[in-house]
Amino acid sequence: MSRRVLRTLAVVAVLAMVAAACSKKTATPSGGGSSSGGGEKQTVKIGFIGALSGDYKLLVQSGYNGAKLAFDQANAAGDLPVTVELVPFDSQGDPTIAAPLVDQIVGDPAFVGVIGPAFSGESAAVGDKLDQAGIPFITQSATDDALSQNGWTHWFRALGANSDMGPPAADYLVKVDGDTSICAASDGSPYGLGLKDVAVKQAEADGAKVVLNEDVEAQQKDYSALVTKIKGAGCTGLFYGGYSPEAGLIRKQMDDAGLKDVLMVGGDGIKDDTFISTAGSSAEGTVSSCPCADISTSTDPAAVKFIADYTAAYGDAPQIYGPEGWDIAQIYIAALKAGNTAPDTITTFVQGLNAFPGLTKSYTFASNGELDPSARILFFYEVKNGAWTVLGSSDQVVPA
Amino acid sequence: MNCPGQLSEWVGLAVTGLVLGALYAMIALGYTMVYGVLQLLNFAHSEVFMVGSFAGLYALKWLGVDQPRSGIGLILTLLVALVPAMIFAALTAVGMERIAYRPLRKRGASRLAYLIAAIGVSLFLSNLFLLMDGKSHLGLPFKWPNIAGAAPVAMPPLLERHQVFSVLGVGIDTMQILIVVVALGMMVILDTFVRKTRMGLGIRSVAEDPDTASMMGVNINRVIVVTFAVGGLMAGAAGLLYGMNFGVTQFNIGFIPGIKAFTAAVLGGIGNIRGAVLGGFLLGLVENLGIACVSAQWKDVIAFAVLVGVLMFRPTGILGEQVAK
Repeated sequence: MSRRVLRTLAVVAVLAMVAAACSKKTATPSGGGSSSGGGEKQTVKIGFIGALSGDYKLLVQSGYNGAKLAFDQANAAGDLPVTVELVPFDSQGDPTIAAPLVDQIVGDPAFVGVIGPAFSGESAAVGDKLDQAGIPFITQSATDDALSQNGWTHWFRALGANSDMGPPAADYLVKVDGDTSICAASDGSPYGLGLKDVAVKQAEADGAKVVLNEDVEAQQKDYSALVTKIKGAGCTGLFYGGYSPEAGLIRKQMDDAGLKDVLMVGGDGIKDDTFISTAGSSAEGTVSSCPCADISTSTDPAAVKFIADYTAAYGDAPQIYGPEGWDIAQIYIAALKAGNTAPDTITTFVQGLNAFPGLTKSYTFASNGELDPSARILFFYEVKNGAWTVLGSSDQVVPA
Repeated sequence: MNCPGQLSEWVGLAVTGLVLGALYAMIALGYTMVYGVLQLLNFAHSEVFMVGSFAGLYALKWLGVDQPRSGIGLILTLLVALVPAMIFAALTAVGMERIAYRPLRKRGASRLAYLIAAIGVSLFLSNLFLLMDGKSHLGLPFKWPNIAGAAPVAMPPLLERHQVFSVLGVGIDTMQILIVVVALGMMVILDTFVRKTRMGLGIRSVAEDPDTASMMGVNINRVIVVTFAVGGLMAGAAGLLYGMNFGVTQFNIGFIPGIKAFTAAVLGGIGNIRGAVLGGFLLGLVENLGIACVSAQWKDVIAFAVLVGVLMFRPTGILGEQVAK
């Protein structure tokens, strides 16, 4: 009998310890924040949702780094009414991984905003939940046009959409490269498929013949069937809607099959170093039409300082969507500085922005969350000597 | 429907399909042999393949391959790279038998337990390679070796692809020839090994009736180890060739070819060595020709539809479930 009592006591003791440990854990962030701040500063959290690991990491990591830098500097400056914490949520770009992550954000009242989700598929998967919870979410890179048709009132797109990036890419193939027969392929994702569709329409409007229109499965290694069909179709240019890991393999396997002369043009999804490392020397000459800004040669002091600070902090120059991540963080910082520390007032603040000056563009949002058309930018990049090199803005590169 | 009008387009798809099929067949042999002797569906076989591709990758790097080689240099480099790819893959296969399956066998575990153990081994190995990215993980005080990680790793370009000859207007390149030659060569060796050697006889007898074989003095444990090792050797070679063909390897590279090879083994008749070879080539061919008229996205749908179709009319696969008979 005494043994049984002892055992029960032991179980109760363990449970109590576990409970204590758990409650301590959940209490730490807000309690710790206020004590370390000296004053009575409350901590608010901003979630960052995107692929911070895995195949698509390089398309997203720089945006996180840029935002983190902005919040770190703002916290250090000490003129915010609250302490901001940027919390990374690594979705690997996968909608099924992103969905449960959003539950954590929605369930924690400390979250007042979200940067991302970075990709279109995951945005579509979690948008309803974030919108219903009333949390503003500003994406730095999701470009599927359909996203703005969901009626979300807390969603904002800090860049142009597929319909801004696809048609000029098709123009590039037809007017700059002089292709009259074009192949088109996508990874079948909402982003890739949508981008391919608008590019195909534009290529046909430009008078080119689209001789192959294909979709492939993402995250495979073997694209030999697609490459064989491209070879059979006899096109001189390929438009690819999708991301860099697949695009790099397709580019490489095209070269291997003797299709070196077929130019590949893609959207923002291929413009990272994963494309270059995967395709190797085959990457040379590939073109990307990207709503990502090139600020590397900017003389704007803010841009120069950002690049210097970013390089000092991370040992590398900012990559794709790094400056955009910084810009979105600055929007949140401006909202907090103006005393908006709750999700609903931050949303109202973002809706009311009028030409908010960022590193990459000035931000004014329409009521459906889209960036004002006059603010949208588009640059062309080409792989030269193993690195993405800017060719110029789209109106410089593609004749009207 | 938008079918290619020219014969050469069909032939082109058939050629890439056969090359893919040769790779599937090499992997399928491991599934089918292990099933033959143990009635175990070794789903971790796809990770044996993955280990082989990484071992081959590091062998090529160790040999300093940074540009294509030719002539004797090419053949020697290839042979030297194949050895570690095959050996490490075989060690992985034997290791998983020793650690995961033999204890189950000693306890007379059910086939379901084997199956779940196999899935566990598979997840363990692929995630182990995912974690080996040179950083700290799981709160452990050391940095993991930088071997694989999450991102794809590019294979050094050993073989320059160029067209050697052409069939009906379709160029056949060096890599395609290499894959088919190595695959067929290894299959012939394997077939001879199983048919003509004493150990091969042991494998066949255990597959036929393990109890009687054991009473006749066949060392069952040794036969099983050899079976895993032989399957591993084939998968390791396939891993290196697959990586070279498509240019990269990654922690999860085994998943899709693994499932396809398993399908090929079932298609040909699981447990049947020649069936696995036939199933591999057939699956590669069907996959590629099947998408001639529709988008490449349908590749897997078509491949599995064929599998279901075959199994409905011939549940034991095309050649039936017999080892080396």
